[in-house]
Amino acid sequence: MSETMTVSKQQIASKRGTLSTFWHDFRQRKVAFISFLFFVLLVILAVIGPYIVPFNPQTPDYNHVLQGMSQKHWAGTDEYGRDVLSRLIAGTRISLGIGISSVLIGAMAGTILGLVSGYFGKWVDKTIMRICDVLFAFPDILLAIGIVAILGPGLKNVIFAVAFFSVPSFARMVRGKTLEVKEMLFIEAEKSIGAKTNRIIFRHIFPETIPIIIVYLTMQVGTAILAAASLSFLGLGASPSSPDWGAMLSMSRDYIGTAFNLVFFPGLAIFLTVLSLNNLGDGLRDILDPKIKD
Amino acid sequence: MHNLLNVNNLQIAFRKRKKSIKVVNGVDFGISKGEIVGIVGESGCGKSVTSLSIMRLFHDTSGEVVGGTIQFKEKDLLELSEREMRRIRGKEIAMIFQEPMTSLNPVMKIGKQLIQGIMLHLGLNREEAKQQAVEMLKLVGIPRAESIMNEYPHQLSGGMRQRVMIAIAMSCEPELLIADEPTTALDVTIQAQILQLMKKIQRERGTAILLITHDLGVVAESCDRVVVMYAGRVVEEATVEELFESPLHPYTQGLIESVPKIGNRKEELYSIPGHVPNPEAMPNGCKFASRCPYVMDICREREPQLVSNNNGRKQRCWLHQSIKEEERKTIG
Amino acid sequence: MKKYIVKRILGIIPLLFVVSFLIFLFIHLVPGDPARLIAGKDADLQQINAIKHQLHLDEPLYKQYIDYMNNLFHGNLGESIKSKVPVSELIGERIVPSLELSLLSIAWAMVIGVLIGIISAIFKNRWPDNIGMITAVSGISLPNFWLGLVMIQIFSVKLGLLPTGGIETWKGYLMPSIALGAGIMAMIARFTRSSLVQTLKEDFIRTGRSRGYSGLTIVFGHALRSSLIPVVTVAGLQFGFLLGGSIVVETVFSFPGMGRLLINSIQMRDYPVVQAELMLFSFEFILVNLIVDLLYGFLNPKIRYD
Repeated sequence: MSETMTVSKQQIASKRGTLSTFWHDFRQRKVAFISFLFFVLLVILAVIGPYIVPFNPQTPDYNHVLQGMSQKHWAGTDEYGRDVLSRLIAGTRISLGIGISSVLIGAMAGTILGLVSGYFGKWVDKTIMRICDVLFAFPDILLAIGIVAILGPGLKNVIFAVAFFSVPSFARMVRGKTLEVKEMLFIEAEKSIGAKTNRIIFRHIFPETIPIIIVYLTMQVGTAILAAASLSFLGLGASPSSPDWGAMLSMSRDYIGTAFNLVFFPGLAIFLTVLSLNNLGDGLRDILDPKIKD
Repeated sequence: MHNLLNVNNLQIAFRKRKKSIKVVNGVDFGISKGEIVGIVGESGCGKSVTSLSIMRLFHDTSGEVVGGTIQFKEKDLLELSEREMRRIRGKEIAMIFQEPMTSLNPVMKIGKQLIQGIMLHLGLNREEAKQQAVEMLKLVGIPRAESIMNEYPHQLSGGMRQRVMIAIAMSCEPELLIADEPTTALDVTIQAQILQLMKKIQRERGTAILLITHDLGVVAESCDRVVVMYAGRVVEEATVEELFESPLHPYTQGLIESVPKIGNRKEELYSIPGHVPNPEAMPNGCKFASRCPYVMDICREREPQLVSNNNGRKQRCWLHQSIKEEERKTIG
Repeated sequence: MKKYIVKRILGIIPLLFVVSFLIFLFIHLVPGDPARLIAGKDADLQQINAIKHQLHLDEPLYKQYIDYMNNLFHGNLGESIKSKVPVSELIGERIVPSLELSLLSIAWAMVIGVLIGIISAIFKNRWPDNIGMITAVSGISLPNFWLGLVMIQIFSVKLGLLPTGGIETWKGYLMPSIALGAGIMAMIARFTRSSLVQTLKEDFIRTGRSRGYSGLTIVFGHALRSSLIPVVTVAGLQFGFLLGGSIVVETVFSFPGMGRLLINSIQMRDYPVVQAELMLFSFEFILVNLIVDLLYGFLNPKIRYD
């Protein structure tokens, strides 16, 4: 028993030692790496965007409404004469904010439920998994729309709704991994030494689940950004006047015959953001969870 | 020269991160019509790769034949086009594999799996092919052959599935049957039955069999001649009687010693100490030198040749050949 | 197989009850007084009470639930508050176009998705695979409403080839089904590829090659069937995606379907309609998953014959 224990610990130790190999592997994957750089750029824009925008994204300029692309306004102006590029940059913060915060909340709740469910098993597991089954009976967007229909439109409610529908998938995935890890001998060994449940879960099981959580988190942020944009587009999310990408697309519908730029650029921003997250997720999955490669 | 298959100086390499690693280096052996020849060796000695290369089944792996010839009757199989090769596979040379559990298509009925190949190679119509299929299932000793035709592989036991595999392989009456560890995954009693079946087929149909195995017991039970491989080379070749009576190569001796003997319930089985050398870092001299109890200085420096005596027995060991002999051979 | 079917069908009954109960609670979960919310800011107490009465909100909860379930079993979904029309009638007009759109979308998405998947798997890691997988990951990342809007700009506004909305002719289905199916096509392509690549590594494929079958026979005659079994499951899961997507896409194209009705009803706080729609969508999703489960059992001989 003690021998297997040390072996397992060594394996974990060697896993940490491979962080530099991870970075090396990661850089080899050009698509994932470029996507990662793009995403970092987006995060930087989200943080400093409001300070570097060429024009104020909210101030109307009625002398320059609905202008096409020009040297001055690279992405043209909207129906209030506001610079589209500036609004897109300002909107980065909203989109990434919603996407990341909602998924983080959902992932946290789901991870805790999954750990508890997988570790304790029996009726705890059954109850939690049944609830997840029920939530899975609603399509994601529908669940989100239902929640927003109850709570009313608005960004906060969108974050809650998106977080809510990410919970069951995280719970299920973490539970699966927990069951797997639980079977490994060293936890049995740890238990016989008399470690506390909390300690076992958070010091031993949780670290093992981190790789799949990271992979799934990355992909789920993309899904969340898409879902939130859809809700805003339907008029259930961000207020129409805010520079949210989905809301901008919603407003653009009135000018669909005349203003190409109003439709094209906000959608392109959503598309590229989600694309980079999906590529990044694919790359991370190939490295961190080679079992499901191909 | 053998009159069915002659493998000469076969060299196979695998590509690993742009490096080419030779896993089979200069293998020679042959099979005559109606003969059962065994290739034995530990896993990783290149015996499976050799058998796959005869069928040219390296598809999708990074393996590649980089030298030598594989003469089957009048043709060099390595020279054939893929289309010509397809006409040989399954018709003139058939193959069965180690895993009867996974080697059959799980979502196709047994009958259809048999009939497909028969129709392809023998040009029979569906009805005739069906008759041939049933006959084959009977040949391999499957009871209620007609009803098995309508079953799926998962409904059969492992031994039954291997019989079906043999039926499929024999369905176009090939001249050569390659069996890659056909009994390894089976219970001991079933193993004996399958080996009996293969001998029966060889007797009744005159099919030559190339039997790849790591198990000398299997060889003793069924083969006429044995080729012993080590680290991608042939180290000894002899008839079964000669091999078990007087093994020449220390590796063969070790292999024979590690076979469990009936009635001898010693606690510990003998196993050859040490490991097979890594193909990426092959030693210069004899590849077995590091594990050999009789190792001499020359063994570490120069690799012996595969030398044949007058009655066709071959060995690759400095204990049984002198440098002079080798030089004479290479010069002459 | 019979046992399997019965087990699956019995299995969804509790789920249907729980889902319908949750949706029953829906109107009660609205913060504040739903009647007041529906009636609007200017309504007086009398109007609010009338709405309360109409929705039976003035009755005890258990009685509301019994009535609700009773109505449900009789196919009575209540009445729209705004238009006073029975909800079943409102939905009845829209369910056919919506179903047509969904089926059309999933049909082309399956066909093209499986095709791209097969080509990618056959040419694994070569240029056709790369193109196929770039297409797929783009399809997954594409906001369907944006795809719809851009198509309208190109094909309706610029080229004048297709209508911007409505379903007077078959042309009205074209762009919505492309917008709706793109993401699903991409998912199916990715999944078919990985499933087929896995299958092609199986031992029985080697057996097939050792018997002299050609590459095409092996892919289409042997590998594809096993590979498509899990693809069917994934396609079923995509149906949920489709339902969600249809809400958005129907809005883009002013498509007279259930999705647009749902959004309009939410905006007008027409809760009985919203409730009924959520119910229908969920039931539809559960039903499709059931069908997929049964189909999976049918395709997989291990289940079919045990």
